[in-house]
Amino acid sequence: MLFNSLIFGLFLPFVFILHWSFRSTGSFYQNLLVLIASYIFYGWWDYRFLSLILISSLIDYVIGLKLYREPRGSHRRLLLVMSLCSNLGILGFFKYFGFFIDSFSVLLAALGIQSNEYSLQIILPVGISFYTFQTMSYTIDIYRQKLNPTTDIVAFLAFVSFFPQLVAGPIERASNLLPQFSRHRELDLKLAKDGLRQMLWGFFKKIVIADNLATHVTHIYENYADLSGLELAIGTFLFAIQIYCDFSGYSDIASGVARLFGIDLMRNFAFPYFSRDIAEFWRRWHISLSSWFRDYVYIPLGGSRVNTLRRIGNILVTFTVSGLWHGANWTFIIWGFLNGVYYIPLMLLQHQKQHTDIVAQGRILPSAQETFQILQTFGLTLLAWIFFRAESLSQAFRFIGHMFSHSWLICPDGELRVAILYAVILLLLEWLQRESQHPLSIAHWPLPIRWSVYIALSLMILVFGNFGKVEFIYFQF
Amino acid sequence: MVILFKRILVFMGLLTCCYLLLISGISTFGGGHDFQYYLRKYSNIPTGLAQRGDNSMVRFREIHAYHDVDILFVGSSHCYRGYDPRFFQHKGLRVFNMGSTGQTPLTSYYLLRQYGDDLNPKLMVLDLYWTMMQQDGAESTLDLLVNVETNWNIVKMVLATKNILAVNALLSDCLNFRQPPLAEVSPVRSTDDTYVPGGFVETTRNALLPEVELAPYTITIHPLQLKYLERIIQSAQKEGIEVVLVTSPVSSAYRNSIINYELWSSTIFDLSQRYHLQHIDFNHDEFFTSSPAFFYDRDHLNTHGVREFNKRFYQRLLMVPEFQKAMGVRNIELQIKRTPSL
Repeated sequence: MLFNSLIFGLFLPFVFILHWSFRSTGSFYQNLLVLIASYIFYGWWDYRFLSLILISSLIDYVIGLKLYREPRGSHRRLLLVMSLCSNLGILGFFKYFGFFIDSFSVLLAALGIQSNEYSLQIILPVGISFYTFQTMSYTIDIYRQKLNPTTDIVAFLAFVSFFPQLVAGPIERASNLLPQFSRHRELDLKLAKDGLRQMLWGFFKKIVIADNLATHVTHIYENYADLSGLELAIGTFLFAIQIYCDFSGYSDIASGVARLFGIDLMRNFAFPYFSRDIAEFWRRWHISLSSWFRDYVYIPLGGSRVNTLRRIGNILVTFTVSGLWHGANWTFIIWGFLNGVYYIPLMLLQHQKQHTDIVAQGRILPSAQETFQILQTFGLTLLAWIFFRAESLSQAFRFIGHMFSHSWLICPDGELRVAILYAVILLLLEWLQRESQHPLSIAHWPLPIRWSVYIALSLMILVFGNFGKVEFIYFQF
Repeated sequence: MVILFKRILVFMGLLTCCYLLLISGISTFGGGHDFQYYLRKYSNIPTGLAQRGDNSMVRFREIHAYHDVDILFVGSSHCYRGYDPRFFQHKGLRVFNMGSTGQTPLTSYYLLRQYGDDLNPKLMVLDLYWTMMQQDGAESTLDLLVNVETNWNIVKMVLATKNILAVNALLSDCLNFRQPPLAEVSPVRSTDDTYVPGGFVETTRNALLPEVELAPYTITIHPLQLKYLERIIQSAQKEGIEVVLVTSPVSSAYRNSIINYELWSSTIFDLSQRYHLQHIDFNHDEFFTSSPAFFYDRDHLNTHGVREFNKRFYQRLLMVPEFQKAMGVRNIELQIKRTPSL
């Protein structure tokens, strides 16, 4: 079920009304309703994979309880390993089996060894990368004694499968989300209205910006050999905006929907393209994933508490694995590795925490230095996005080669200019509201102006929105 | 919760009013040519996408004069540019050609609901074209909205496409207050085409199609169109109307550029098996595939092509059991005797 579908438009109000009808009966029935609704939401795509999410959830629920009952001993480690193996095993099989078999075959062929190709048509269950990481963080936190497990199985299953964030995040931490399911929830009108505003902004980003840019990006990447260097550069820029609007749009809709149910999800994007360095970018882009890798990969590897060489290794491993998380393709691995390479100089100079405030806070325009820093960081991310978007490494390298070897003096056509205009409008609106949670955090504005903004955005969605059923990019992860 | 819902309802009401005002304003006052062009290109508001008064308008005005026809031809431009009623009338058959621009099974279904009872054909020839089978029906809907009187059936057709462009076209049509009623619109004259009573459009474009290599083309089948095609067949068979499926010929260059024609063949084969129908695919007929002389573009027959196509189609039709059943065996025996063999 897609957020931007008619069926979701009917599903949401129905679930919302039922959910708040149960508010006097306590959280159990609300959680049960959320659980059933989430399973219907997920099963709408493919009911066969409901068993997978249920099994994954039950394994970690049981292991969580057993871990809590074993405060020390090697048995604890065994339980943790069981949880990690089951989650990573499921993820590895569905997502990476084909990739590893293919890569192994290529390696053998390079060594002159012929192998029998064994191929298996495996469907990738939607959201598997998200919910397996979510349940793994639960058991790891219990193992680390940072969290007590829940005995409320309904609350736990609802926490894992909560439909707004099930298929494309944010990857929630049990310490944030589980208590919200455990406590009694009352309808918070202020939170619900802000949720609706955030949903509107999310739909605008997805349907107007991302889906309209998608056509141009696809055309440019499919025909890059026939286009000028400038067109390829524009295509890269448009892809950066497309993926941002697609993914953050989904996160905004997810957060907004969650708020309708009195649940506050963690912030997943904080205007990342206004970052002044790559460390700041990774504190603002896909925050739930980057913090997950920091807490469960980088820090266990030793983090920054080891010598310089090992620290560099930890950075590269963490970023490379995060690239692999995105997909079973060398392009994602290189994308991750490249971001790691970008990060290393900052770490060596101990500048990774230099920019923790909001850029040009309290001012309309950034300073010249800030502008340079923003453009520099954006340029680095653009280069990395080429690998993310390309179908293969060879295509990525050919794309880059073509971009820098062909003319930049050819004027882009009208359609590309309109696409650039969409991107510029988006960046402008976000810049003006960068100090807020999201650009439509305008509850304090006068009513007529607020409603004019809502109507203007809604009209833009209806008039300029691309309703051609373009799927969310991060569904494939 | 009640307060929230009240606010949402008021907002939705206000949004609806603003939206209708916007559509009405644009469709009534139009703006300049450039404005309309950019709006058409970059928005979901279909300004000037379909022409009012073209052959569709004439056809669907004329259709009311036809009742109890022997053969009804249904399809896209392949249909209204391919089946000449004069040829069939010469064979003693009453026919009507109910093809229109980009007509998909979805739009055909709703048109048949509107006109099928009066036309009451003995045999329905469904001209199938893969390009129409992969669309959502919005293009055809735009044409019909400006050339057919809007009624509840047409509204249902628009909603069935689930396409915002079609919905906006419907709103534009209803809210354009400067637009004269359809009954007062005069047909638009074309230098390339002549409307022939019975629904056919004869072209004057007869230039030989140059031999070019076309980019590879992949056929995809939209499940919605397949669903409506089945609905048409089921409804027809329920009414005792015989059905024949036809795929008109396209140029050899176009045919050769299709990399998965077997998908088309197998899909229609499965359909014909399921409903016990005949499918005549002229893209297996070497007569048309061997020469570009019959086409004025990649997939439309020129005058010479139409003549040959109708002859060959009729020959094939005589042998089809559904046609024999519809027309009565005795008539067919006479027709076969009178018709020279190919």
